[in-house]
Amino acid sequence: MQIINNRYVLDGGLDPLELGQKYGFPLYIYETATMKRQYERLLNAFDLKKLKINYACKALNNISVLKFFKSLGSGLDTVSIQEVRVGLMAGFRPEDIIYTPNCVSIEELSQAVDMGVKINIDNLSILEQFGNLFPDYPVCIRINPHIMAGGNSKISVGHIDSKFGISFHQTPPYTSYRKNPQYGC
Amino acid sequence: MVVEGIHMHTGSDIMDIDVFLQGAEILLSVAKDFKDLQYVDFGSGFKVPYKEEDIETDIEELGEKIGKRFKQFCYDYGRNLTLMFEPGKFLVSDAGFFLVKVNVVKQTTSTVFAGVDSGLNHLIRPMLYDSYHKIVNISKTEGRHRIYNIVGYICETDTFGVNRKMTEINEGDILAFHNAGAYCFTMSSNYNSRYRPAEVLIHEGKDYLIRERETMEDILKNQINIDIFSEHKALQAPAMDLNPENEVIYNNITIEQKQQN
Repeated sequence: MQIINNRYVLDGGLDPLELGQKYGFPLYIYETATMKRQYERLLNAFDLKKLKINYACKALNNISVLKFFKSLGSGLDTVSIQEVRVGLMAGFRPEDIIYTPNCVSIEELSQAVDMGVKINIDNLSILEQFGNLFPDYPVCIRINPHIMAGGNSKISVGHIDSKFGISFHQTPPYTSYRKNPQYGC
Repeated sequence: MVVEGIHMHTGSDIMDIDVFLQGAEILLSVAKDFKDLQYVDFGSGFKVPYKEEDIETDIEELGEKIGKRFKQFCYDYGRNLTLMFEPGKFLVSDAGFFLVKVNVVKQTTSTVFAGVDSGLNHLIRPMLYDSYHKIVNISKTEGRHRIYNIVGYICETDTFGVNRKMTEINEGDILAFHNAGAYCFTMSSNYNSRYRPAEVLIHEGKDYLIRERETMEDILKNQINIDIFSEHKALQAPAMDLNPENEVIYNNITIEQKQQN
């Protein structure tokens, strides 16, 4: 939003006050132009052949916004089975959706298997149960590197006392699962 | 089991790229032991400026450093893997605005409040984790500036901003919150039985309604109105004695008896 000729204007010269009159207050307004600019900025920052950006839809989960990101070629990052379902409804292919839940039940993970999405597991106990139930379903493992990022402790999730991820100190137990034929290797 | 990916997410607001790189080193040191990888996911956490003086993650520098390191990793690993990111705030925060109307301007002994037709039910980040949202009075681009505390209409302390200098606010003016694209609508609620607002998407110069404002039907949807309560005779205190310490008789029941019941 910028000031032009003594009034605020949105992308395309639209007047936010007129939009407010049209749709009523309070009102959320989003500009796809900014989303596209940021998406392309991130893509262009990397000189890599294989780079995939998965839009984390917990930030803004309207299905039309999801469809917009799909049109850009983005994948989708989800944290609940409901977000997965909205993603599928928005037209994302299952393989373009990654599901990274925390503290959800094995039943919910089973639903994600049925939907065929990528699954990111962040707990050794769940990994063990998952390996027993679905030995052939590939998984991603969420590692906690124990570094501190974030201006506020509530949005910093990689530190030592965080509930998120499997500590990188705990990879030896995982390795034993992997080597055990019972777990499908 | 087949491990096809390794992932980390450190949290939002990466200020120091070298700290992020340290995390990446740890992730890659774990990743090298898994032989079936298709991708490595570095999460996100790119800092977006909310204030003029805020630091922004230098995405270009990050891209150069991570990209170079990842190429080396792939070379050592023996295969080209996919590098993944999962940004949310970085993609949508700055794309969103939240418009509210000023219901009241209230001068107290120390502060001028602007009370708006919204609250923590629509945008909770400032109250939840002290986030800062730039707020401007879009009804006036010029004129004298004054200092306000911007507050909501919810029956909690729902302060959006303290000591914000902006063009003088009159009741009925429209304020715009910046950076309202990420974690704003998605965290909204029906607290105080208020409706969630409408959402509009601007695409190629046109506006599209992408969510209708809620109605009373939405508030009551899923509530089950059970009809089992018979009318009781109202318990009324004598008008002149409101002190519950006294053994006041309410329709022949003492407070003590009432508590036992």
